[in-house]
Amino acid sequence: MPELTAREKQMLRFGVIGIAVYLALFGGLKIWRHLETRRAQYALMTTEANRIRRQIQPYENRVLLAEKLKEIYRINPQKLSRMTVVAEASAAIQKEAKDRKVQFGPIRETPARSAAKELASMQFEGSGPVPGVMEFLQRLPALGYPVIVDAVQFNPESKPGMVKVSLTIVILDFDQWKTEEAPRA
Amino acid sequence: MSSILSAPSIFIEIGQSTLSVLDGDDGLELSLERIESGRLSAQCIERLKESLGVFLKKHNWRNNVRAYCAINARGVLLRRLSLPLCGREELERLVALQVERELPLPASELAWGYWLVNSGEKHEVLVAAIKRDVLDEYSALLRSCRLEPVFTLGALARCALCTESSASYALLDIGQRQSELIWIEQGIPAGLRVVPWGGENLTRVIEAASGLDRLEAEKIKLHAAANGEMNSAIRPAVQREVGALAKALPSDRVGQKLYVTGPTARLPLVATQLAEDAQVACERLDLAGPEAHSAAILGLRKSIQQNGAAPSLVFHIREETHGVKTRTPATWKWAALAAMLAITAVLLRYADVLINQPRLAGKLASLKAYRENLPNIERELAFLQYLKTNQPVYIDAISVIANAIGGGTRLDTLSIGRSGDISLRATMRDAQQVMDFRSKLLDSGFFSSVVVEEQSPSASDKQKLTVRMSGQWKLGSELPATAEKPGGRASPRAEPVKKEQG
Repeated sequence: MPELTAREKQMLRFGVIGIAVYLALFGGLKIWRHLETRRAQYALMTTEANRIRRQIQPYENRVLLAEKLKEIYRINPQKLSRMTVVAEASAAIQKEAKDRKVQFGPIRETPARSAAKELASMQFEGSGPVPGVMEFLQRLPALGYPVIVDAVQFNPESKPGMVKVSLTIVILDFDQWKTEEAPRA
Repeated sequence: MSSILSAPSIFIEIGQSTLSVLDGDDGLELSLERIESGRLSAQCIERLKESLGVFLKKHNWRNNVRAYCAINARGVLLRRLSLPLCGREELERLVALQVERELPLPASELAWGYWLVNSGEKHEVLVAAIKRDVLDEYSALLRSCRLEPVFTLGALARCALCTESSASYALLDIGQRQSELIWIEQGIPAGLRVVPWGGENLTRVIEAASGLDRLEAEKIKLHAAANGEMNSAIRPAVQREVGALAKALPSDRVGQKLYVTGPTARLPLVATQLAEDAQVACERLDLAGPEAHSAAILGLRKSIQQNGAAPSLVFHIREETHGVKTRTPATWKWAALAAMLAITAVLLRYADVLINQPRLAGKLASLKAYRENLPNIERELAFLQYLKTNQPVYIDAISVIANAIGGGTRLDTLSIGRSGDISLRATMRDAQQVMDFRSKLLDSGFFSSVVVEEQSPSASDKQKLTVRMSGQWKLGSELPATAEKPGGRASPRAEPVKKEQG
């Protein structure tokens, strides 16, 4: 390979520098454009995040309230199944009664009024010790099912300290709340 | 103070046969060995490096000390050029063109410098040039000793010792084997010549006249230089030899006065004989300081101390010099640093984006999902609030009735509905007890109305009364709060929710 003259070397050097400068400018321009695009996206995302934060801010208290009520009633409406909630609630009521030494007699179940957002209505008749019946009545709302005691009737029992109780319980239908138009967030 | 702040510098004279160094008050003189081409021999270079290294070691903490070097006139071309008036940069370009045109060697093979001596109607420029190889060799030697050389002409440096700045005069420096003559016209250097006559010539004459060996002849010369006394037997020979020197000088260029310097000039006979033979006033320049300090070094030091800047004429070694080569990496380093800082400054604008964008995208997605879920939460809340507001307070009602009822009362039936209507049938002792019971129920604040629908004598016991009553408890917020809770906890009706939506 012939040896390069000083002039050729200098030309070669300038050529390399020129190409390097061109590549740096070309690549730099592309990188700069890419970065500017990302920066614009970032600004948009920040604006969007702030807008959503402002939108959801008024709902903060409502969310807290819902959480509080869920905790009090030990209920999660989203997990309630319309198909099984009546049977599960009935079983839970009977179990609670048994735990309080309340003995149930006949249990009658009737379809409830859908206009009143009720799924079913159940009538329980039974007897038990007064403290047990009272405690049973007290614990009914917190069984984990949407039950409301529609009516209660007490009659004296022949045994002392015992009382006859007749309960009408309705089970609410959460699905009817689902179909309602919710306020838009 | 200024000497502390200014960069450290030393002064060097590179003669034909000696190299003298002055560092502060410390002086050093080294002999030089040259090959036929006039270049320094390799052994000499090694010896010089070693000796200079030892000499400079006492100030080892200094770095890149500037070395002002006065070089001898051998091989130096001196020209005066007249150039049109122009700016400094243009002047330098014009001088470079003139050097290229007028000097016998290409500019790339020359190291040259110029001195703007006059700027009247035209620029009067004094140009000095020397083969670049010579200075490259000196430069490499000095740089290896961590010195930054600045080359100037020794003959010009000596002129700084002359007090006559505007007159026409000449200065002859008598060296060991050769002498340098520079002549000044109206304060401006006009010419330079190397005369092949030195102190060695006198030594040889004394040796021949006295019949002694060279060493003894040298001693006699030094003795005569110190005391001014010379044997009458050798005096005529010495006078003849000095006369030969006077004849070698260009008498028409010497001007009004001839100054002589150098060790041989200490012989009083030299100045007097030169004045007699050259027919010009001749004076030996008295040099302050030790004898090792040459006139060039002292002149250089004087001009630097007076001007505080570089000598008037500095040889520049252009293109591919050691200076350029050594400075290049430093220049690139700073350029790279500047480029890095510029890139960093640009990237700072995008640092927030590059670092936080992925996190923000995740957060935005979770916010959107949360927003999508808000209608469900709304439905749940409505459902739970319905459950809460429709939950009757049976226990509270029974408790109020139990507290209000008097002794001897028999409760036959008690019915309570979700809407708050209560009906009961009981057997009580007398009408007063019925009245008390009714009053207590109303006084409890729980009931809005209590009605005694029927009271009649009991079928089994005529002394007692059978009573049928109905009532209605108060609704919503009218109810007094109780401590009862569903499932043994606080009642949802009784316990106010702290953050209730307004």
